[in-house]
Amino acid sequence: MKNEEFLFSTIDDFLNGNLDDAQMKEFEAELAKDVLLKEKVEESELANLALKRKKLWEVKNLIEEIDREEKSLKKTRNIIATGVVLACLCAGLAYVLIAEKEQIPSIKHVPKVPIIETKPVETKNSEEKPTLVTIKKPKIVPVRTNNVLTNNGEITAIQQVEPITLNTTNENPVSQPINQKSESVKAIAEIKRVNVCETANLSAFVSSENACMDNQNGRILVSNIKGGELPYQIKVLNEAKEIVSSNNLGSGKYSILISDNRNCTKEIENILIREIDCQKDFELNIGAGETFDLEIASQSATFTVFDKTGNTPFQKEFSKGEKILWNGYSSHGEALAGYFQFQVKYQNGEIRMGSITITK
Amino acid sequence: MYYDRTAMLFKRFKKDFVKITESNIPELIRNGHEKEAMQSLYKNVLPYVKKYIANHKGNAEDALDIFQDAVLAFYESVIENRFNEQYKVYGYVYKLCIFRWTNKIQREKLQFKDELPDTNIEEPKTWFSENENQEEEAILKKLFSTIGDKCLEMLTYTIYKKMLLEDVMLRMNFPTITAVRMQHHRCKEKLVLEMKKNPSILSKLRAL
Repeated sequence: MKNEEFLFSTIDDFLNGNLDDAQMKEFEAELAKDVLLKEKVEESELANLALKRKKLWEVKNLIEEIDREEKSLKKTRNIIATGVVLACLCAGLAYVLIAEKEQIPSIKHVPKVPIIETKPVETKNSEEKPTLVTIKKPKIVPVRTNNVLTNNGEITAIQQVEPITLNTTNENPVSQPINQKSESVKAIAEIKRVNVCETANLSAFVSSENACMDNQNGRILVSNIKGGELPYQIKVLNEAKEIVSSNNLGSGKYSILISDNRNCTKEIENILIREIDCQKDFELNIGAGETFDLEIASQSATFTVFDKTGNTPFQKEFSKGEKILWNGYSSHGEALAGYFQFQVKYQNGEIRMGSITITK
Repeated sequence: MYYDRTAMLFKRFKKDFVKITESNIPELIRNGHEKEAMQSLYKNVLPYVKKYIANHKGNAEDALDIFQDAVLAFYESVIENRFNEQYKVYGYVYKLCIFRWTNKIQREKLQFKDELPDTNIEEPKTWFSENENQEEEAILKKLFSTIGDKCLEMLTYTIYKKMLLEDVMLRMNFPTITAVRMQHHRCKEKLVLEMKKNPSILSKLRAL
């Protein structure tokens, strides 16, 4: 047994090259003559080779396994990359859709309120300029232009202002188109509107014409609108905030609501329309026997008629309760013709003025 | 399936932080970390081999076969302490691949001319790509399955890795060197006996 183990050990040393030269020569000599030994060495050598081959197969399989793993990883990476790309595309698409949705209120939103075309006020006399957001109370313009009006004996040129005609019929509230949209769009639109309107700076010139006594002929005039975006819409609101026409206004407080194309608004309040005693123009045909019948005097009054040159062809005192009448004849009984101004000066100092055109 | 891939990715990620350089690949092989060493070679050499072979009338499959053969030749040279440590490992394996591909092309008499890269490294033996036989693997598997795992481990240390018996004693918890020697003897006898039972493996091994 010991010899067998020694032999086995020597064969291993021989195969591994662990024998020195002398031992090697001796073993090779033995090997040349001993067939059994030669067979044992060959068996041992083949066993070593088998083991080596097995290990190499293992390594080869290991490389194939790594290759499979790498291919699988590559596939997974490709799937992940594709997923990421798709996610990015979806996110981009969603962003574009949201951005488009946000733009709807500002681009698409056109109020269904009829557009009121506005134009600047043209003045024939450039000396008189209206003040920004200041309520002016211009004198009531006589029907005929280029005539002469006497006021405290002073003759002034008459300025005629072309008013803006405001069509306020069938108007809807400004917010109506927005209300028709969904709540979210409405909210977005509101935010947009606020942001845009911060820089809109709407302003306008507003003037008013008072109403005559017992008459609803007051007017509010809006001109020279600045800021915001055309076209503008103008609404006249009464004290109860109801939309009314800008013409035929009675006395009272009014406000103006100006809105532009982007629904930015500017409200101008406290526009006062007063009731005044208007001058009247009368016509008198003395040929037909007509009489100028002004009123019953509430107090004693002096009725004076002026001609174009400022002379007074007729003057008469009327007592309280007496009817103020004139037949178109001068104090000297002469029939008059043409254009005349009259003045009624009451006892309390109040003056009423007007004109009379006399024909024969 | 998905979990496995995730685990694999994580494992790979973790490994990237364990620095494997080409200079410590032989050491990894000798210490039994073949997989790490092979992965490093696969990652750093195979892409270049694929590129070269694709440019010289080959495809990705050819590249993998050639790469396997070259790596096995390198592996064997490391195990048998024949690998010259002065060579850069990646460059060495890459050149082995090119030699093999050039030889294969020339043998197959394709009209292919290529200047061999300047090198003074030895031309490797051929292993599997030219003599590949799946039958051999099956026979070897069967052969070694009969001797048991302990014997296979013992023979791997003593014959294949040529470890000192003292090291084997420590690794395999033997009380004495004599015990290691006796166990080694028994295992080898067992293997030889099994080989004798299978004449086909003997003739195959003789043919190599």
